[in-house]
Amino acid sequence: MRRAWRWMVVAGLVVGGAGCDDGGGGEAVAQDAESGPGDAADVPDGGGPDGGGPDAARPDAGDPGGGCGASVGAEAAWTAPPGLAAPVDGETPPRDAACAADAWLTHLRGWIVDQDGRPIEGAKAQACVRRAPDEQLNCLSPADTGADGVFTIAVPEAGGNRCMRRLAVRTLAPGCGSATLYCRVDVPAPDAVDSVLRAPGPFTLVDTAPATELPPEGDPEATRTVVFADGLELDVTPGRLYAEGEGYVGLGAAAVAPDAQGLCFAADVADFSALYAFYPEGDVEGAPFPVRLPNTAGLPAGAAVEFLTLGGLDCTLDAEHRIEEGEWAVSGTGTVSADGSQVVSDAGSGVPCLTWFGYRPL
Amino acid sequence: MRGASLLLVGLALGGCLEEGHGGFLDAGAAAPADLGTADAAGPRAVYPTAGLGTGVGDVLADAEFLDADGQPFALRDVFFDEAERVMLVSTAAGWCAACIEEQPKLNALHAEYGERGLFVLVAFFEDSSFAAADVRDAARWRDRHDLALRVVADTEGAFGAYYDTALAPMTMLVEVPTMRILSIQTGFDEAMVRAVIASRLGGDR
Repeated sequence: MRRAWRWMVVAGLVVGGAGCDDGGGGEAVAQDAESGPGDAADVPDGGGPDGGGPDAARPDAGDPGGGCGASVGAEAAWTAPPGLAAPVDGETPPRDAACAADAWLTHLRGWIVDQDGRPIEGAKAQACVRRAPDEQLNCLSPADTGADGVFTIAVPEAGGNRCMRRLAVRTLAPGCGSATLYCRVDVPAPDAVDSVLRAPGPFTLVDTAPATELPPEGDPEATRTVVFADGLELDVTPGRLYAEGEGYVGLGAAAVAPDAQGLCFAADVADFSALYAFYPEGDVEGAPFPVRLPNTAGLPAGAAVEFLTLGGLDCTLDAEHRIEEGEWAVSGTGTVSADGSQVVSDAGSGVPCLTWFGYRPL
Repeated sequence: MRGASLLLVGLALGGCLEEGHGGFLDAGAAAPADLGTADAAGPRAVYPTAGLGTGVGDVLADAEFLDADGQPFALRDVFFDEAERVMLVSTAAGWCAACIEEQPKLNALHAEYGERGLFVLVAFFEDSSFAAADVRDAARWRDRHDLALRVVADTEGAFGAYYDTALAPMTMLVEVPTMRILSIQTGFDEAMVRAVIASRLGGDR
């Protein structure tokens, strides 16, 4: 059986910018399960949708007032911080007798770090559950991280979601320019006694860099090439990009080493030639955006590759197929250019949504 | 007959019952006398105010919103429209993958039952970054999912009083002539929703 989450212990290098820092502090928020609709007072205010360009659309990562976490001076936390093991607030009722064949979970606890392993305060963790036995999908409201990056998601009794078959976690630091991360988390075995699941490794948010060439938005139906710092070129039609927040003007990306430390999907991307993270997350309506990527793996000219995309909140391959959160799916093919410098998407292939994207030789 | 049908549906789907907020009007719930006799409720001259509450069997309080076009919309607008018989309220948020999965099903219900008196309302309450939704967000949601039904920005989280907001989506069915709440679910159990609607409006289950 495929392991959804196998943690990297080898040192790796995440290619990206500085962490999303500020000097804020504060008490750890043990859980935020009681937050309700409209309760957005604690959402970090990091740039708005009306920015005039990529630099205006997101806060300066090093700006103490940027509201993008509190990892300045913090020690790297690639290993579990003490707060992870602390008892959870509230009750942890025993397994429901009707849930004998599936996982039983009352809480999920984890911690969020930046690409340097520093805990991020004020980040969000949010889970969606496929409950057992009908596999209906339900989503839980987000939990905030405390100063140590630790969050706790309480699975409410209502709705029967504590008995589950699948669990995916979305982590993000809203408005900070880091790529939203989706991780499939292995649920406990049906005979597990502990109803509190503590993630075995961190949820790592990788900073992206704003596009280096971003044509004016202009006609949203006109396709134009957006160039990113790592040499990735994306043919974007803004009118077909469904992304909240900054949208087109905030586009950013980062090349990430597939063996970088702290990737929850390390096992899935181990054979990738290259891996990229996008910001902001979003879906591409209709045909995927054509893409050209540096041939950093030195694949021979004419070599065929397959593209893979990480399923996110709203990632559609076509009208009928959505990639489930935290799943990697083959999303197209590409070919190494005649001069060997680039991997070029084949006709009809490209980037189907802005989450995480990679390729590997066929 | 409608009451009997509803009772059978409730018994058949007993696994969906919840305590307190959420649940289904069934044999275990105190059924208001006028439930199941919606068409005999009389002219809809005044929005009902007796029996207001947040549980199944209670009367849904009126609430006001701006819709995705920026136009005022109130629940009483549905009540005063004599053609409307059942209202389905679905909460949605940009961070809710389950809500995204649900939208085509809501569209289908609207297309199938709209002419027979089903009013489908999507209350969009937060964007994907968990910020309170505004009209622009509601419009984007409507357009993104090609919704032919009414979408409102639930900026104040008005429907949050009716369910455990730690979960999304919430699906509520309301008997429009009385504005009594027929069921509240977390999630979207399509079979159950269709069964309730069919029991009220006729059609295949």
